[in-house]
Order: sequence, then structure tokens, then C-alpha cells
Amino acid sequence: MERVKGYQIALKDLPAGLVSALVSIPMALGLAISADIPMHSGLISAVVGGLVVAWLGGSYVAVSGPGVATTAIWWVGVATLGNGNLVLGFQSMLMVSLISGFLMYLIGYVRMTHWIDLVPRMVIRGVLASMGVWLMTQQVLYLLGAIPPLNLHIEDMMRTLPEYLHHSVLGEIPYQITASGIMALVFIIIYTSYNNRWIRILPAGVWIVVISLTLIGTRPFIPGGLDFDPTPWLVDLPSIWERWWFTPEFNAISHPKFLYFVLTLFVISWAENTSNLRAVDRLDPLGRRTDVHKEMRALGIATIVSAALGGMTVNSAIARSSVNVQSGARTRFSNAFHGIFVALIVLIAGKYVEWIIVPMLAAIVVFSGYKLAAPKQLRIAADIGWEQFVVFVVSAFVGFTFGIGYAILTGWIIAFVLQLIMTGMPGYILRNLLKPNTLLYQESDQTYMLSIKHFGNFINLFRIREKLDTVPSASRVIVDFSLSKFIDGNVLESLRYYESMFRRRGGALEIIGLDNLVTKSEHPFAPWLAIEHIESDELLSPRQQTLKEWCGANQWNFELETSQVIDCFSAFSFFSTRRVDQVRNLIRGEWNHHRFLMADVDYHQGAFIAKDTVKATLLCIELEGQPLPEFLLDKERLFDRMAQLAGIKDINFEDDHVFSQKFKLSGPREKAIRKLFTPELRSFLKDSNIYHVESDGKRLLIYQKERLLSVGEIKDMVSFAAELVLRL
Amino acid sequence: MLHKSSPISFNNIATAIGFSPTAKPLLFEAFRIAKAFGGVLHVLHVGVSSPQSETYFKELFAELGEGGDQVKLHYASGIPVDTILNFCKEQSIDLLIAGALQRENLAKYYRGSIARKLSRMANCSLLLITHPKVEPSVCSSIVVNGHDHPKTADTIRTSIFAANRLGANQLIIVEEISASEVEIRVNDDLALIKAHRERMKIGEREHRRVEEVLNSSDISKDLKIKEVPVYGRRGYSIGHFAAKIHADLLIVNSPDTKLGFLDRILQHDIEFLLSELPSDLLIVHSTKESHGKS
Repeated sequence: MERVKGYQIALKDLPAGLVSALVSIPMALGLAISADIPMHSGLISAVVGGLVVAWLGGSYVAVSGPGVATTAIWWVGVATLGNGNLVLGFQSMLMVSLISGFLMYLIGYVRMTHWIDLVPRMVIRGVLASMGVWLMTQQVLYLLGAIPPLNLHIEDMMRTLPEYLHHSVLGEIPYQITASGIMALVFIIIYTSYNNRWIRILPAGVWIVVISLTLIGTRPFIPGGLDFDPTPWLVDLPSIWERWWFTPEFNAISHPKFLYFVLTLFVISWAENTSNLRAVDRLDPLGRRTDVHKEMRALGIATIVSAALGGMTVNSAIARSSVNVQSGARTRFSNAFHGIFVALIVLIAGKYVEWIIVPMLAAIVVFSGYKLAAPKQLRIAADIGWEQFVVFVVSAFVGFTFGIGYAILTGWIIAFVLQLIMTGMPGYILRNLLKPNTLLYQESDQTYMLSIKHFGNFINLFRIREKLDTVPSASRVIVDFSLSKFIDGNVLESLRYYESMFRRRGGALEIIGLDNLVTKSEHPFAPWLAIEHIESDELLSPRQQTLKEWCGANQWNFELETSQVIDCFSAFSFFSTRRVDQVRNLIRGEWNHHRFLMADVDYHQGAFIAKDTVKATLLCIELEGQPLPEFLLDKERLFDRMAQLAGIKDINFEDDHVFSQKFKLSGPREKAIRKLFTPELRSFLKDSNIYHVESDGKRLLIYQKERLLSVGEIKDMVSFAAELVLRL
Repeated sequence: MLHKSSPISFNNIATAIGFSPTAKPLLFEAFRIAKAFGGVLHVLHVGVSSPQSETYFKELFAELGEGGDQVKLHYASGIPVDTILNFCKEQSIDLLIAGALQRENLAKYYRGSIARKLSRMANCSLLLITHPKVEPSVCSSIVVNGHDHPKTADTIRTSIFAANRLGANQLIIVEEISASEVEIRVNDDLALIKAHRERMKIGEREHRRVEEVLNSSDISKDLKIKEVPVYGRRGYSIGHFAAKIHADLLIVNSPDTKLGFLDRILQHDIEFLLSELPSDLLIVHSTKESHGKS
């Protein structure tokens, strides 16, 4: 783990801070313009965000500043709360932002950051898509060089769009301006589609600034000069110091929609922050964990400070953070430098900032809006399942037409109801809805077991996250779904994330128990249901897929299910009180003519009334050649009872106390067993993991735990068995 | 003798049966348990005595085999729950055995079944059996709660007693550690290391506490005792754990307060277990005297 040890490390973050600042300035200006508020309020947000969050935050390489999604809320809020008066609207929104910042702080304080997962991912995506459409429609006007009448409603905007297009075509707007905007957009599209070494020297935003400055800077040298004054289309920063600062308007509280905007801004900001912070954790080259709660508190405080000074809401920004990481950022100093550089550039080179062409900034925002609302999103949703598609479309539509707050509410209800219908077990889900449904315990030194009961969906996802967050990164976690009947995409997506995070940090996360469920789509995040509720071709779970590939590589046979009667297990005394129900995921193969069969076996104890069915991975080896004596070998004394019934005693080796203490060995023919367990075999057993081994003379039964094993554990067990057979 | 180590002795064991087909397996289970625990089995029939019922029960008891004639039959009439509770008080019953559904449906859940009412109001220990069987079954692993509570010592001692008598070979003492309670707050790597250390410390502390109880009890050689700290909501996690490892019997403290309707909506502690029994459940009722002893 890296801690800041001195100015040297901090100095390394200097260039990263500078590059982030250069990206941040056009973004902040562009976002402020799209919110219809004074351009410099975006800059205030970036500066305050950089300094305050770096000081108090819990992330390492995240850059903070105005966020794209929250900008859309600002825009609507300014228009609505101001009732036509833009300055009043702006000051009212400052008040809204201030209070939402306070709420953000509270969320971090009570450590409920992960509770945002209660809102299904598709709802958030749908809402973001609707905001993307807003931003695009509105900014296209700026991009074309129009200076649209402010305070337009979205429908007016859509209606007047052709009119403005007409204006620019007719040449009422200087064609150079319109062209600069369109060129900038084309440039960004090219920039993101081609991975050209030369273009990629600078981030897209910096290129836009450079091109813009070049265009305006070379203007006096154009022969004949320009036939118009470009000033209305350039960035305009306040010339007087006092006009930089705005204060929140307290009277806004009495506005009937005030609370609505506070909540909407807060929820969207929360969602944006958490998803960006999680993404930043994936970018961090050193694989550190962000303290999300601390970062949320810092972002809350930064938002409060920013709002008090007249700046926009402070969010964690993923695009800027990724530039920051690529430029070599290692610590939070990069974020602080980013803030300082923004301030310095504006103070010292304010004149040049004012050379940036607004239509080109609009291109940046249009592109950000497009990324939120890309049609690709529809296809992804449809791939996962039609219900996801419905949720996405409804959220996007309601968000676009009625407002974000209503969209989240409607989307949530529809997602929940659809889930109840889809799973076909509404009673089951409702009954267990408020139970914690998750359990974490340490199975052995480095292995943690997270068991999820009943179901895993967006309702209990935050619990899963909270549990996983407490597991040391370098350990192996096994997520067991064998007690649950339904897993939704939100959970699978998060587990995918944790899987990569654990791998980065030297641990592992493996999922077991999905094999008992089925899915109807090949998408990795499609929901998995209990078999009786769905009829479709079975698709392989990731575990089955890996097993199949592994068997292929070893030239073994893999079967999902078998119609044959598997009697190989019932001969063992382990199954004298247990009854096999089903055998799944069979692996058949051989080493040195010893055939073996490994399978996930469902069995239950007792004869008539089924108690809980136990699912476990068992390995059975058919031995060729000389028969072995019957014996039982295990540590946990699970066989003891059966052994006692059969009148079998523990066999100890006087000369080998370690072995005698570690294992329980028993069997009817003591002499033969003593002969079999040579010192060499004993030392092999002492050195390997402890397995339960049972011999009935011709066959060996090996298993590790009375549960399904993860792929890694299966591989360990098979290599143990192969070694063991060689030594017998 | 094992009696000295067990502050709770089950001398008088009761079960209530009617004429339903489930009565027979329940009676057999109760009889076996009474025999194992060395207590007298009282059978209560809620209803009035008649020649038919006399012969019915006589035949039933005869099927029990050796000792079947020692079973005491009682009659009482009234509302089932109240009658059973009164009976327990009058006969100073130590352990009441009742059959229970593994999972109750919603309507029953909020109205409350007999088993649930009993567990809430009984002044004695209560054993809920999910799948009573006529044939003897193996009880190999027992899970018991081990969290820090005055009643826990008694419960663990009782579980050792039960494990010895029922011939179990594994007793798992579960310490439920909820994150909020022990201030385990994990944010970044540094906090994680701290939390890990904190956990070890808590584990150690819990271990010492449990060890004290264990040292004062006689433990048969064949019984393997394991302590497992689990992280999650108290009351819920132990049930989940028992289901996860397929325990045969779960033993818990009796609830501190009498639970009302509101507790069923905002579930906590034992309500989680009652709404979905992971296995047979023994609720150990600690009396004030036994508190004093421990």
C-alpha cells in the first residue's frame, strides 16, 4: 500500500494534475453553459472539488468536479425554480445543491453509500439516457452557433431545432462558427474511434482547447481578417472580482418543487459518485480500495462549499479520473493539483480561457450526452432480457417526459413488479424481502464463505457488497448460491466487478451453486432462476463452462446430467445413511488405468421424509489391480458414528504422532491398513490438504467438504487424488 | 454423571398430541428424546377422555416398546395454546416438544401458529421438531449460539448435555458478530487490516468466554467442538448458518422479551428462526436460579 511519504511522491502527481486541469476546464465550462448558468460556476466546482476532496476524501486517483448527469438536473432546476428569472433560478439551485451536498455527507457519515444499489441498474441507465438526450438536444443549438433564447422547455427546444438549423444554413450565423462546432464534434468522434498514436498524445478536451486557441489566436493574421466579431461565441468570464461569487437563495425553500429537486439532485449525484468511484478503483494501477464513505463525505462537504461560493455540485468524474491515471497520478495530490491548476490557469491565463469557442465546448457536452444515451444501451438491455429492456425504456421515457424523480420511482416499481412476475415466485420473494439473506464466515484461514439465501437481487445487493467489502483482498471468497432460487443481473454484475478486484489484489472470488439454476439468455448478467420456474434450453453456468474446458484439455469426459444409474457411491458406508437424489456435472477420466468419476451429488439424510438436500462434490476412483483393505480416513470425525456402529477403532501410529493427531484412520483389518500406510504415504497425506478418503476395497471415495466445490478446489482435489493413487 | 454439569435438567418432558397422523411420529420422537435425556414423558391430549381415546393412546404407547408404559397421559380441555401452557406450569414441565412446519405461509405467519405462540409464551424450554419420524434418525451435528449474553452459558451447557445424550459428534458454537456492534468498519486497505485485527481480537475474546463455559462442563471424547464466528445480523445469521451446513439441531437462548405482533413485521432475533426453521430447534429457557449458578 502506498502512503504519501514526501514531496517527491507528490511531485510525481504534478503533471497528472496539470493534464487533468486542462481537461477539466473545457468540461466545466461546457457543463455550466448547458445548465444555463454563469460559465465560471463550473470552474468553481472544479477548484473546490479538487482541493476539498483531495483534503478530506478517501479515493486515491479520482478527480472531482461538475458531473454530466447532475448538470441535466441543474438545467431543469434553473428553468423551473427561477420561473423565468435565470439568476433567481441559479441561486435557487445553489440552495438545492447545498442541501443535497449535506444529504450526501450524511450518507457517507452513516455509511450507507452502497444503498444506492436499491435502485436497479437498468433504472439508473434509463434515467441517464434520458438526460443524455436532453443534453444533446439542447447543446446541438450551441454547437451550431445559435444563441438560443434561454429558459426553453425541452419540447420547445425540440420544436425550434429545425428553425435554428435553418438559421445557420441561411448564414445568419457566421458559417465559421457553425463549422467549428461541427468540426469539433467530428474530431471527437474520430478521436474515440481510432487509436492513433499521434492524436492520442493529448486528451480530446485538450485538443479542443488547443484548436480553439489556435483559431482565435491566428485570427489577426488571416489576410483580410474576419468579417464578424466572434466575441458572442467565446467564453466569457466575469471581469470584476465581485461578479464571480453568487450566494444561495434561501427563499427558494418555499418553492413547491424545491424538495423534488433536492431529492433528485441528491439521488442522481449519489448514483453518479458511487458508480464512478467503483470504476476508478478498477483504474487504479496500484489496486487500492477507495473508502467510498469517506469520499462521499468529502464530496458532500465540497458540494456545500462550492454551492456557498456559487459553484455547481461536485461529483466524482470518471473521464477526468481516467485521464488523471493515464497521466501517471498515484495519490490524492493529483486531485489537489488539478484544483490548483484550474485556479491558476483561470487567474493567470484568464484571457486565453476566454478564447475558447463555445460551439466547440458544446461538442464535448453533446458527445458526453451521446455516451449516456447511446443506442447501444438499448441493445445491451435487450440482450439481458426483455424485462430489462422494458425497465430501461420506461425509465428513459418517463425521465424524458415527466422528470427524473418520477422516472426513478416508476422504474423501480416496474423493475420490482416484473421481477416478481418473471421469477414466478412473488410470495417467496416478498416473504423473504426484508431478511438479511446473506451470511459471511471464515471457512478456513484464507477462505471466506459468503452464502446467499433465498434470492440475490437489487434489494439485498448492498448487503452483499457490505459483506464483500469486509473480506481481506488477498483471500479467496466463495460465493455460494446453492440456497437461493433467483439471482438477478445487478448482483451478477457486481460480483463480476468484485471478481476482477479480488484477482487484481491477489485473491480470488469464485461462484458456486449457479449450476442448479437456469438462465434464458447467454448474456453474463442475465438472471438465473430455479429450474422448476422456467423452461428453456439449459445454458452452462460459468463454473460448468470452466469445468468443461478443463476436461477438454485433459481429455476427460464432461456430462451435465446422466440417465445412467450411478451406483458407484452407494457402496460406501458414507452413503449408508444418505440417499443419492441426483448426480450432475459428471467428469469421467482415468489415470494409469484407474478410472475415476467426479460429480456434484445431491443427497439427503434419512430415509423417508427428505430433510434438506445436501449438494456436494464427490470423487470416486475405481482401482485396478490388487484390492486394498477397507479403511476410512478423515479429520473431522464425520464418519465416527458410522464407524462406531460397525465396531471399528481408530488406528494410531506410535512412531508418527503428527499423523495420528491430524487424522482419524479406521478399518476392520488393522494389520493390512498399517502395512498400506507407509511412512511415505503418511508424509504425503500430512503435507497435502485434508480430504476425506474412504476405501471399500475396490474403490476410493474422496471428498473435501459437504458442499459444492469451486473450480479451483476441484482442481486441487483431482491432483490430490492422482497423487494418492500413485502412492497406493 | 453428567447431571452436575447441566444446570438445566430435563426431568419432566411433555408433548401434546391429538388424533392426527402427525401425532405418532411426534410421540416417537418425544419418547426417544425423553429416554435419551433421562426424563419422564408426559403426553397431553387437549380434549376429554373417552373409552375410544383411552384405547387409542394405550395402543399407541404399546408401540413405543420398552418403557412405553411409563408414559403419563393427561387430559385437559380448552383453547390449545393456553391449555398446554397451563399444563406445563402445573406439572412443572422442563421441556415441551412440539411439531412445527419448516416454513409457515404468510397468513399463518402473521396470525401465528400454535408452535409460534408456544415459543413466545412458554415458561419452559421448547423443542420444535420439523420432520418427526417414527424411526430413529441420526443427530450428528448441533449448532448452538455463543454470543455474549447471560443466558448463553446455560444454553451452551445444555447443548453439551444434549449432544452427549443424543450421540452427536459435532457441536458448533456460533458467535454472531454484527458489523455495527463491534465497530468493524471497512473502507480501504488500511481499515481492512485494522478490522481484521479487530476481528481476531473479538474472536479471541469470544473464544475465551466460551472456553470458560466449556471447561466447567464434562465433554465426551467423541464430541468435537468447533467455534465459528459469523458476520451478519444477530438472530438471522445463525439460522442461515445452520441451513448452510445442514445442521440437525439448532439450540438458542430464549428470547428476552415476550414478542408481539410488531416483532413479526420488523423481524429480529428469534423471529427469523421461527419464520423459517433451518432444522429442529431447541429454545433453552434459563430460569433465574440457573442464572445465579452461572
